[in-house]
Amino acid sequence: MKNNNYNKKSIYGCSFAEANLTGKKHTKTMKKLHFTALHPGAFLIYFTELLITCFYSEIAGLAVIFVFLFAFSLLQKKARMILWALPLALFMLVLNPIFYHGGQTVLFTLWDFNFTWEAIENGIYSALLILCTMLAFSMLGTGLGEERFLYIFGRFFPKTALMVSMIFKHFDLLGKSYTQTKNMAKMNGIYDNDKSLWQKLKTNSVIFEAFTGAALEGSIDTALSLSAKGYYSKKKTRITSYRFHVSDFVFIAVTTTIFVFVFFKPLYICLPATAVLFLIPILLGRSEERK
Amino acid sequence: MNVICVKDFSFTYPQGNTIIRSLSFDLEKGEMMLLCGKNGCGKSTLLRSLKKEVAPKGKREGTIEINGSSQILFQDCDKNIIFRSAFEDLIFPACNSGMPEETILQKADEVLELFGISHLRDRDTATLSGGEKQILSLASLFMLSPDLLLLDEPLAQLDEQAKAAFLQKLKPVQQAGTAIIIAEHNTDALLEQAQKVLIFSESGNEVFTKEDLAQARAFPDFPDYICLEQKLTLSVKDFTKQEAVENLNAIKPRLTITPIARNLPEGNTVLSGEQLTFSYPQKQVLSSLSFSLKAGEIAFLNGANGAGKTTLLELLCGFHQAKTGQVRLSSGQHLGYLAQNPVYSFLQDSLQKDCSFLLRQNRLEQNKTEALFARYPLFEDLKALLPKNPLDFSGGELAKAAIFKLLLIDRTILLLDEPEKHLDRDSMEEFSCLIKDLAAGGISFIIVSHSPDFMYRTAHTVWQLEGGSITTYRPQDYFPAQCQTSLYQAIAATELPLFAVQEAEVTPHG
Repeated sequence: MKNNNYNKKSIYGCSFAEANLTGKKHTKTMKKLHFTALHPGAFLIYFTELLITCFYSEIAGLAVIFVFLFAFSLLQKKARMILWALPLALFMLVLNPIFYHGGQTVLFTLWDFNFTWEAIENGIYSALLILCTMLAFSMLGTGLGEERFLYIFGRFFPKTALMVSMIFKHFDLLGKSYTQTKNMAKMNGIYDNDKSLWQKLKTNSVIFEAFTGAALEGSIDTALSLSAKGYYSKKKTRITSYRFHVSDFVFIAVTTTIFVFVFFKPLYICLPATAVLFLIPILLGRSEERK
Repeated sequence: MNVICVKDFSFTYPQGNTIIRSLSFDLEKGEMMLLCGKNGCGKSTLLRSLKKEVAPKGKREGTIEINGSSQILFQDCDKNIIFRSAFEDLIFPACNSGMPEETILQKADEVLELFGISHLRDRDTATLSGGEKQILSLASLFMLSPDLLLLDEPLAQLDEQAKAAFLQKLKPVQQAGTAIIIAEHNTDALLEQAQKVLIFSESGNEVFTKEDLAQARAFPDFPDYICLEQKLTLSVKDFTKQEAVENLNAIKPRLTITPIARNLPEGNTVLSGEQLTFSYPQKQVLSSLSFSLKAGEIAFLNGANGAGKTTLLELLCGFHQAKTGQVRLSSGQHLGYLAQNPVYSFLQDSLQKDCSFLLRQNRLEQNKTEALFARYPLFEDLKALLPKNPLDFSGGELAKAAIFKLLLIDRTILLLDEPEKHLDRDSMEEFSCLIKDLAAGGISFIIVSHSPDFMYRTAHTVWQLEGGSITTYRPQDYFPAQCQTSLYQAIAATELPLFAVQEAEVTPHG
């Protein structure tokens, strides 16, 4: 159990490791750098740098980060994700000036309370930080992908990772079988003559029951298949599919160098460094699309 | 040394039906045994009983001795897949066997190349077609060299290229000492390689060797199609059309055979598609595809695994929306659909309840079932299955039940996705007769099938789906490289004998 390697191979086909091992023609992949070409560990180090930058940056830096991350999510067609964090961000934006009245620059006074520029600035900062963190994690999801996430996760919790992987697959299966059952019911005229609401409910419950039954049966099948394929055997091979390659080291070296410049005080150094650091996901995403 | 030795094995399901009775056989290294028999005769049950980990629940008697490791391929392609990543699924059994990493990677490459599925390597298994799943699972078995290989209808959903690859791979595996047991209705190709044939019949199960097969006609219960195939594959390599007709006549004494000219019916167009384009997020499937289907036409939709056959049918049903183009359905026409996995069309816990629910919802009379039973011999076995749960049916029985349900609700255009894949030979012929009978009554068909045999016996037209669009052929002109065997050539050559239902007085359906 300890040595299983179920989730280690997944995107092996896209990684550099294959090109090296089998000597296959993957030169195209080698020239272009994209998400799947990176070792998950390398990507995780880079992501940690991004997060630190987020939390270290001043409001101007955060604004730059927000623009780049939002551009990335737009390009990946995942901009809708921001709606999840938007209410909280707005809340912070409004609440900060209402409850915090310290600061030097008083803008106006209302009911004996000073509304200061610092409070508003703080509000904007918190809102931006929330949005940026959200977008950054969404970027992590896109860049890492489910399989590579499981690879990292599985190093520490192999059993759980297998279960998670199967749950993912099972959710797919559930969704698929529900659509299939419903579609077939439509084709077979099951819905056609349902006039009253009660009748509709009744039909739907029949469909739901059938679909859950089939889904349960499916999970038994998966268990059978697992044992048929020797999952419970003792001796297992680990495949270390993701290997650190020169490109990964170069990637880490370059990003870390840029990362260092983020900590310089003058804005004309730290802002461009932040911008370049956050431009990388956009470039990686684009080159992956072209692939 | 025997790899497997079975003595007086009997199996009874918890419900009380004894499905295997005192069966004895043994297999040596490198031997292959073919399991033949009607739908629901216990082929899958036997295969699963032979693999301890997946043995069905029930009462068993006798002994099963297996020396060495074994691998099994389930009939249902969804059962064989565990992971979302195709590559992960491919190497999973090999990893569990403790094979060295280098060997696994090398073998994976070899196997992927051999089966022509290198492009599936990085795919998500949820996006694979039924056939692609089956090749993938088959390929994963060939990553290992077990002592015993148990295969349940491995050819059912494969296209011709994959079938050829499978057969090509089977020989070296056999030579390397692996004993193989295969349940398969498509026995043509396998019979030559098999050393033994186990035939399940009502009077008792018997194991025949090749020598027995040569005198097969001596056995009263011996299925006729075995004799025919025996003759075709073992002796007659090149035979004339006349001989083919005689042989075909010989195999079906129950049905009269009347030659029917293979003319297209002259009806109105009932369903047509113009310039249909459709793509999945990662994959273009249909590109400016056009077709038209006439009333009473039987069209067979052919194409490689993953070509988009099922997608096209689902598009016609309205499950997907075409990006461009239009589907036109004449007024008064109703589509009926048989999905590749028919299990989703069953909603109740017994077939009887399911049929009456279907009829009630469609406001149809409940006695329709009787009329269908009386008219088509295909549904004979279903009578006994009425009180049972469809989830417990064998593959073939499930297919029959789904077809039966489809006929209950008066549809005028039937879209059938691999309906014959688990049907035994007799049922397939009866099914072919049924289709022709319905077509004579004006019902149109679009059928996806990987069985050339079934296609040549049934089709008016053949639609080849390739590169996202359709080319139409007449069956007698349709000769892809893989179907160049003499039987098919002879069958397709000219006015072939199509089987007609004996009762000529049947009134047209609908």
